Parts: sequence; C-alpha cells; structure tokens
Amino acid sequence: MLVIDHIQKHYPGFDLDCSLEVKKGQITGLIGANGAGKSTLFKIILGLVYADSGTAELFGTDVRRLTGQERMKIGSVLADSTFSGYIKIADAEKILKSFYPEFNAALFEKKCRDLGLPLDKNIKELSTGMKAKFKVLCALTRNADFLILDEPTAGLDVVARDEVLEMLREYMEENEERSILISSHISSDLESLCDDFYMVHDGKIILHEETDRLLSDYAVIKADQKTFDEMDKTHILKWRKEPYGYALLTNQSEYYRNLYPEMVIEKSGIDDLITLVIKGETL
Amino acid sequence: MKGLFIKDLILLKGQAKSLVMIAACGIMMSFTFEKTVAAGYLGILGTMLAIGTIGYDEFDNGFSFLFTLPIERKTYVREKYLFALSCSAVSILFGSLIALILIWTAGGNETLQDILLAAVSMAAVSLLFISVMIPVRIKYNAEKSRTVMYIFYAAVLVLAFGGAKLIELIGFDYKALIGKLDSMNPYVILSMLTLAVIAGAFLSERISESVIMKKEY
Repeated sequence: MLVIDHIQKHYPGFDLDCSLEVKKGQITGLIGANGAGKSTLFKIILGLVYADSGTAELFGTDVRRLTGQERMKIGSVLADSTFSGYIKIADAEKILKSFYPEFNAALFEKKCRDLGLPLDKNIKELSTGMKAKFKVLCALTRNADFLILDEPTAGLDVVARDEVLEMLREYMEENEERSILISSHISSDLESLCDDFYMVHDGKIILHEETDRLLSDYAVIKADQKTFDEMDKTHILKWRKEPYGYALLTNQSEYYRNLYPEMVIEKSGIDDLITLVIKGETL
Repeated sequence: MKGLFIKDLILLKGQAKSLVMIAACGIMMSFTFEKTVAAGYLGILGTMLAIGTIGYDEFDNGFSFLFTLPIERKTYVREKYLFALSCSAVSILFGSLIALILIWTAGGNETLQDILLAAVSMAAVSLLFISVMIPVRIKYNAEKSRTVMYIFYAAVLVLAFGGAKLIELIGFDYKALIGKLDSMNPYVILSMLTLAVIAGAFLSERISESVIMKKEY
C-alpha cells in the first residue's frame, strides 16, 4: 500500500532519513518522541512537504504524482489542523460531500450523534476532545482505502479514546484491503491496535517490529549490580542505569527466563521500549 | 473546484451580517453621492471579502488540511481568482442595479452610459486589486501581507510622484499627451486599460501558482 524508501529531508539541525512499508490489510504504528520526525514524514506522504531525495509510493504511485482519484482514497488526520474553525460541522459535511463522491453522509450524521458532536457548532468552539473525534470522523466517512493518522487520539479521555479506536477497528473490519498508518504518544492505543510498528528517533527508523512479537518476546530485566556483572548479555539490546540497579531490554525473554528462573523479568510495553531504546546504552 | 467554491461560499455566509450592513451602506451612499457610487463601493468590498477567505483558509494551519483534500494546489489558486472575480462581478452588478433603480425612481443626472462606464472601470480596478492581493496573501501570512501591501502602496506613491518629477525634469510635454487622451473615445481608453489589467491578472495567476507550488505546509 505504502512504500517509503530512504526519504530524506534536511532542515538546519535536523535530518530525516526513513524507510518503511505499510502492507495491505495492516495497521502500522509510528512511534517516537516529540520532534523525532513523525509529522514531517506524514507531511511528505501527504504532499505537504517535499522530500529532498528518496521515494514514497502510495497505491503504487509516487506521492507527488497522485491523481485526484487516488487522493480521494486517502483519509488523513493531522495533529495540528482541520477545517477552518469558522465553519460549522454541518458545513464541513457539505464540503466533504462535494469533494468525495463516496462520502457517507448518513454514517457521518449518525456518528456525530453517537459521539456528541453538535452539527450546528463552529469547529473553533469545539473542545479538544470533540475536535479530535471530529477529525477522525472526517477521515473515516469518505470510504478511503488508506488512513494516515497523526496523533488522532491526542487530547481524548479514556472513554473517547476507546470510541475512536473502536471506529478504527470497525473501519478495518469492513474491508480487508484497507490499511492505516498511525502515530500516537499513547502506547496502549498502539499495542491494542497495530499489527506492527516503526520507531523513529532523530529522523531515523531505529526499530521495526511486529506488535505480537514485541508483546511476547520483548521484556525488561531488572538486575542489581552483581547480577548485571555476571549475567549472559548475548540477547540484551539496550541497558540503562536505574536507581535500583539496571534495566535491560531483551527481545529473547524466554531465553532469560529459562536461564535465570529467579530473575525479575517484566513484559515490555512500548513505553519501556521507547525509554530504553532512546536513552539506553548498547553493550 | 466545486468543493472549494462551496467552502468559500460557506465562509462568506458566515459573514452574512457584515454583508448586509455593507450593502446597506452602499445604498445609503448612492442616495447621498452620485448614483454610480454603489457599484464602485460594493465592487471593492465584494473583492475584499472574497480575498479575505484566504485568511480563513490559513487560520489554525488550515492550509495543511486543505491540501490533503483531493485538489491540486494550482486548482486552489485558480479557484481563488475565479471566486474573487465572481464576487466582484456580482457586487458590481448589484451596485449597478441599485444605481439603475435609484435613477428610475428618484431621478438623477446619470445616464445608462455613466453606469456602464462606472461598472467596467470598477471591474478593472477590482481585477487589479485581485492581481496584487492574491499572490501576496498566498506568499505571506496575514500580518506580513499587510506590511507588504503598505510597502506596495508607498512604492506606488513614490513612483507616481517620482515619475511626475522626472517628466518635469526632462521637459516631457505631458499636457499634450493628456489632451490627446482626452480627445480619445473613453470606451477605447477603458478597453485598452481593461486589456492591460486582464494581461496583468494572467501574469499574477501564474506567479501565484509558482509561489504555492514551492511552499511547504
């Protein structure tokens, strides 16, 4: 669906160089700290920012040469922008209807009612949470084949976040050919939703892993000085000094469980992964 | 392009109250001054309102969102020129209609020819306005655009006065030229000016396209 090959963009003090792939029928997550390059990458895919070199192909076409028909098959959410704040939700519906022949007005209105979005309210008057739900709804109701969502759950409370994630799951269940590229700071969102994820740091992809493998094989080993000095470190990816001793990231948790049954080995989540991969040291 | 037109009409609808007030002012001015004032006044305000929609598009990083829609950037530029032209045309027609009604009902010295001349002149002025404002608004944000426009107006003044001084210094007989122009048919002069403004508008549209294609959002 989406293939990015060494897309590069250079700014003073920041260089982006990323390659990634989103397969048909898959939800791929993009994780990374603020300023890591996620939004720049998303904007390159959407044609808002021009890459200095490399290629990005969506539906087999260079993203800079996408036709109007192909662009109609993209649903996007940008972290910091949407329709002009001076129009009402009902007006946004009219505009979407005129841009997208496959726009599902009935679904849009139903979801607005379900999500508590008042059609007669100006977008600039919506709360952060309401605006986030509105943005996702606009992307979901145009029968797109590919969704590109930059921080779609930012600012949402737990209940609203769950509603949005459920909408995304329903969207994928409707058609197995669809794909999503999503970024989020909320790791639990990605863990429960994504098939695989990429981790970007300082403009580079530093990790690509399937979510199942992350949740089953990755773990954080807690060790004191003596254990740290003596243990087998063959499958340790990163380590970090902590107040209690050491935190070590491994992608072979079973290996260490068998080797050291007494060792404290905790399931690694995306949060641990981000912290240790970015701040940890390599052996 | 249809979607962009709908968007801009919705944005204008949001200013309905201001539009009614402006129209009312135009009508009042026509009672007080010449009947053709309405066409000019409304024409300029219609153009300003249409160009003002760029500000609404820009609000809250709106351009980023707008260009994720299935439109090309060039289409956005063309639509903005067409929308501004349409608004000017409607405003001038409306103003001219008011002038006509006032002449028929309240009487006045103005002829149909005066109204036509005023309408065509205003169309040319509006087009000139559009040709200058749109590329500036696309290139710069609202605040910078204001500064650029002040500089532009100042430059026009300096050129005008400077040009007049220069003509005096080199001893060019401008009075003869004015006399010659005076003797020409006003429609010929107006047609020449209108053609020049139309050519300028095409150039302006090309510049705007080039600016928007280079921008990153």
